[in-house]
Amino acid sequence: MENYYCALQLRRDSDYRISEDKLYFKNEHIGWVNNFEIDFCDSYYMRRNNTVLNINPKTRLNCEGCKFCYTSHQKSRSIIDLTIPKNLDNFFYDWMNLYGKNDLSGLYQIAVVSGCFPNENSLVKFLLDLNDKVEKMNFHGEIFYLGSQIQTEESLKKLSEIPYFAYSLSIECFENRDKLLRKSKSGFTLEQIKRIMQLSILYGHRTNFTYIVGLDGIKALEEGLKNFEKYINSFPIFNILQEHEYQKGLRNYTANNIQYYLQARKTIEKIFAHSSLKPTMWEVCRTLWYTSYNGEKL
Amino acid sequence: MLKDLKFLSKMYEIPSIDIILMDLNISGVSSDIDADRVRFNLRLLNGELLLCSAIKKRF
Repeated sequence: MENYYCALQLRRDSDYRISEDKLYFKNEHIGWVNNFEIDFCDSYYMRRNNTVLNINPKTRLNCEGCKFCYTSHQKSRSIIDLTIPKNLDNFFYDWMNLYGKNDLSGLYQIAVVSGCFPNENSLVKFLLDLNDKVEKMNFHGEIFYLGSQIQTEESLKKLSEIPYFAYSLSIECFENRDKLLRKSKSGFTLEQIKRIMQLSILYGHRTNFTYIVGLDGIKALEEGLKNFEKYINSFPIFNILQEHEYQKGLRNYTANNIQYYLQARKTIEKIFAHSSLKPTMWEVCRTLWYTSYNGEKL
Repeated sequence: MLKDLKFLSKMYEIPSIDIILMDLNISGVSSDIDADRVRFNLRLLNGELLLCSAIKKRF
């Protein structure tokens, strides 16, 4: 049996319980747990067998406003502002020392997951500086940005300097965007997002979006995805909404049962059935797909 | 919440393991640890039948 990486909310009312190295459903032992720890919000974390480096350049602990986000509640073991050039240099040298590497040639992707830059220009500057720095360290992979702060053609054009750049637009939901998202995010309208995604593809960037399953009704999910599927060139990142203790009542009222998520999965598979795009397993730990997609083994 | 894991797996043509892992993400987990979130590697018990039998009461 395979190992599945889980990052979960702690809920006192859950029927699932971890005790020592065992996972229980009520009193039934259903699985073995290892590498159990608090889910800290740190400066970086690794994925894909240590070949993808996720960095958190501006601490997300101060990034607040989106109702579904939990990072501002997370604990942190290391808060380093990686937008300060010296800090970024030291960070990479420390990382190479820790992982016993001479350079960054073994990395497949460096992911920047943050919406906490003061403005679009400072984000673009950071991404370009990052590219300059890691190129000198023999990095030949993709620089991936997840967020919504790239909002102009000028920025997308500047980012073409990066040999392999990917932009994942944090759409998150199609309904109630003004209530669920912080102002700077909801102010970037779905029509504007479409235009930017279209341009992003034109400038040669790998382009998709993130979506949280559990915020919209199924009909809104279906219509929204049909509306956006032509503006991507890689499979969207679908995350299941994890409702924390302090977020009770956040889910769409139709999304409080498992059938909603099963229906969502079938609906998404149907929408993308004509395309060759598929979910990337290592990219999402709260996904709708673990062992199969559209009837095929993953 | 659900009637039967095997029934749903058949009805939606989705493997039971995927349904359990999705349900875990929806429900979260309880533990004695003092935090909002935890992370870990999970190896589910070997055998879909065994899992279905253990989880049956939920669905």
